Amino acid sequence: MASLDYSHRRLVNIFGPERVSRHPAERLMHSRDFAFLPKAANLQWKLIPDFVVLPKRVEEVSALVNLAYEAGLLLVPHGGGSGLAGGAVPNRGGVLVDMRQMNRVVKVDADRRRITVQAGMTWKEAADFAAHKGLFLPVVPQGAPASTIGGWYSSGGVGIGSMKYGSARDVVVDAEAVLPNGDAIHTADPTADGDLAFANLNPAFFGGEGTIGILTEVTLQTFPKPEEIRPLSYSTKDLWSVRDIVPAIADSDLEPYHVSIIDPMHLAFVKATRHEGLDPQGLLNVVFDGPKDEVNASEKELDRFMEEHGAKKLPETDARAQWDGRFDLYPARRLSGGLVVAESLVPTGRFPDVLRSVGNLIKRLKMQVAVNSFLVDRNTVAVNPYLLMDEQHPLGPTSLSFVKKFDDAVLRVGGHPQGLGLFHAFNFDRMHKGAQGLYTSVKAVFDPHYKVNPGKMVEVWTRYALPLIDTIPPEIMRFGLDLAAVVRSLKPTRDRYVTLGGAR
Amino acid sequence: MGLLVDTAFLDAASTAPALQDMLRPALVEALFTRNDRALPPELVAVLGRQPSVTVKAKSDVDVAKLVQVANGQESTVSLGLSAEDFHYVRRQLEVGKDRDIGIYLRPFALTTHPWIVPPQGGIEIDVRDLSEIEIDEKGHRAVVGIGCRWKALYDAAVQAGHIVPFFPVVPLDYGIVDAFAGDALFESYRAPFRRYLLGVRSFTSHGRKARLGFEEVPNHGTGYDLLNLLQNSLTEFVVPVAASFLLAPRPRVMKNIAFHYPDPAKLAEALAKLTASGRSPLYANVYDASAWQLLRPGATGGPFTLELGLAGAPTVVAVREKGVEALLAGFTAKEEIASPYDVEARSYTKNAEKIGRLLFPGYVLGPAKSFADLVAKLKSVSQAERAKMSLFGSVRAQGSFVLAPGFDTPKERPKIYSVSHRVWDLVNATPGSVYLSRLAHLWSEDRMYRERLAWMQKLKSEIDSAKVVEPRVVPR
Repeated sequence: MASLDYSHRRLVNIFGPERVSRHPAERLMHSRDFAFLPKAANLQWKLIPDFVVLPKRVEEVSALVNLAYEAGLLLVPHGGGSGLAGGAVPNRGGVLVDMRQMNRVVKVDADRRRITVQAGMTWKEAADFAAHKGLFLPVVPQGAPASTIGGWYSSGGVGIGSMKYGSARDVVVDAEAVLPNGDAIHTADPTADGDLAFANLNPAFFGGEGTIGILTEVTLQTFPKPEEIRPLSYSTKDLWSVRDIVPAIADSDLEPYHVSIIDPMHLAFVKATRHEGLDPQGLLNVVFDGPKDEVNASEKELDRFMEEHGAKKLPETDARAQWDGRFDLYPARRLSGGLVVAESLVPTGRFPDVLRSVGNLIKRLKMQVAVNSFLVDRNTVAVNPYLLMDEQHPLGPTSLSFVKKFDDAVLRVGGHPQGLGLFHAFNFDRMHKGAQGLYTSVKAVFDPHYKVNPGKMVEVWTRYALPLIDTIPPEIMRFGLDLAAVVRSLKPTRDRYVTLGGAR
Repeated sequence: MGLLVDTAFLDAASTAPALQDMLRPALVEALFTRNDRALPPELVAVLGRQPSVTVKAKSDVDVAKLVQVANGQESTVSLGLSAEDFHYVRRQLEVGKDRDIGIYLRPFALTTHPWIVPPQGGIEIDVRDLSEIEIDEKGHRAVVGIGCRWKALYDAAVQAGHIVPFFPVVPLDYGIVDAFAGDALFESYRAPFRRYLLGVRSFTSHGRKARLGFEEVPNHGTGYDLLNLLQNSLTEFVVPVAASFLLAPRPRVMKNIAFHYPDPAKLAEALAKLTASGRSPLYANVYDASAWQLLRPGATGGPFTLELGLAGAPTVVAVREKGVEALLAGFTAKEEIASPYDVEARSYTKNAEKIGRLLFPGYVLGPAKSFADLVAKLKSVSQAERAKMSLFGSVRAQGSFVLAPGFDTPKERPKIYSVSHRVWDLVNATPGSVYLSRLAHLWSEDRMYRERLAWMQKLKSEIDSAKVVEPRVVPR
């Protein structure tokens, strides 16, 4: 490996001095994503990058990849930092490639309703741009204001609108990526959007967490702007009362654009943070899109349906406020130093079982947890519980054990956790029993020298490139988290950040 | 076999001394049309090979054993054969000789034509008995053996209170295997086939069980989307045995409505309006008069027909129908008729057989506004080839269509080649449109495409390292 000073000079040659940083504050800022990590994590991973670079053009990314190979540097692509699995943070230092300055619109194809944007643009910016052109980007992440196009696509995202329009995979037609060999390629034929087009590499990058290349440009399929987008909200006594309504919506012939399920605890957190908003209650937010007459008819059908299931319709202003605040999911972070989020997909029919498991975990691990969920398709619910923790308390980090225990429960019912990255890679072997070799083949083929975001997803590298201690076996990670759960359950008092009228 | 085998073979063949000066398209033509006079004997020998044995697999266990026999892990004794059969199988497979024993899945119904390189000896698996259908009682999904017919799945789903939300673009009697080993294209108005495919149970070339994707939920956020990466060439990477699909609940109202149009220009206008409206049918099929007649013998219709499947809650469907009717101005007649998918299995098969006799050179994709132009150009192919054309197609919400022209002419290789080439030429001259066919994939000289193909070849070498799953063929 070349010296850091030499590497710095070479990086400056590519990006100029203003877009290369070795400043400690800059590097520290880029050493984490949205996931909480205890300080002790620095013992096993070198989370702080050696350099932060800000590319603007694909040629710069290509030059960077070539330099990485030459100088023995590891590259870590980084989007908006809204990930939860440590997919975009370094594990052995290296160069952190902050893509956020690649945020231009490249092309608009009005005939095919497609827009091509650079991968560092956020989903919110892309959706706003599409709207400005009279188009509709129907699928966006819940963290759309921060989440970049390349970042969310790389994490295999599902989000708002997935119920009707699918995942990020279904709106990405083509991408430009710089591969670990330095070549920039188009991952698909942008005109051939059929399933019969062979050699379409889009899926390799969907969920690939930036481990086989760096996305620089993405072509998105948009749709005509709907005449109406109508949010509706229905209230139930508590989250448990929603358990049967969600599978019933999935079983019905209603065609909502988005269905989200809000936990009373979440509303309590929001109220404690902002001193406004709805009182704690179980909440179902349903959104319809389309021509006005169809939306009107759908609303009437839904009103009847909800009445039959004992849910009460909330005023339009409340529903609108919920919809307007759809991207602001975690204001509760202000209540404590740490926030831990788990993401998963579970079969709709097993949603009540998962809620029950979470309830048991809350009791056992003595935590305050809010469970927000949304329908991904008729068979799938995304269940995303989050909890607050006191990071200053010595036992604070034991809260991370919740994620492991929750993942266990999800896998038991035929679902799976979402995101592998660095912190959740211990689930990889449990998810892909028997097929692990096929996944590792992809990394081995595209990045044989392990230069781009290595040591994640399919394996976990430590900061030490020494035999025996260079990787952490998944069993050890799982054991550590199980042990943390035992310690946590011995804790004498329960964490309490807000009070919730005895609901839990 | 498959694209990767064909392209590797083409690359190898083009380096043969006798063929070095031949241009790639000419080589493709000579190989595809089996022009024995232009080819060296060793290549002709390759093109004439057949599978050594065809085994009707009864279960996953049989498939696993066959893979293990092919990769040398097991002797053929484990197949449970009699001594006589055992020796026959060993002799047929040429066990002990220096040649890879490949595993090949036999497709049920090919829309277009086989790839250039046929199975080279080895074991062909007939998957007809892998046809079990398990419909989830608690959710909306089904796990289906790849030997199951799409129509059988559709009927079973309807009986269980669901619908299969993806439909064949050409109404042939496809098996699920045809989505992986053949060239069946399934779609709905709103989404492509991949949205409904949750997972595939398969065996790797090393004989290990490997599930790609999941069986109850989609694979988002679980690493590379291998399921969709390999889907079109799946049988070149693994041996699939079953697939899990997303179903939809059966709506209270389902209507199949046909709108007849006097000419393609008016239909094109209607398609553009429909796809810009946000009104969402379950499926939107287009036919010309000849295709309509084949599908519904004796029925009358216009020169072009748009068939919409409207499904949903009663009040929503009523509003949608009214809205759609107002949108699709220009039609000469409208009729509500039975869905082409709800017919009895026997008559579906009978119709499919009739349609299957046509020569389909591939699929043509384009934006709605170029519909009339492409139809006119395809008609010119029909005139030049003196073959009556039947046009099947479907429309997608994003504003594009896919057309499958079928020509009433014998399915002889030179004819397939010349028809395909004419379609290729006309699509190349129509900006924004694409021709998806097995030959077109071999003709394409697009640099990026060839680069992507090279990556897929590398991936095949890595995943099929035992060289069992449709192994590549090098002419010797």
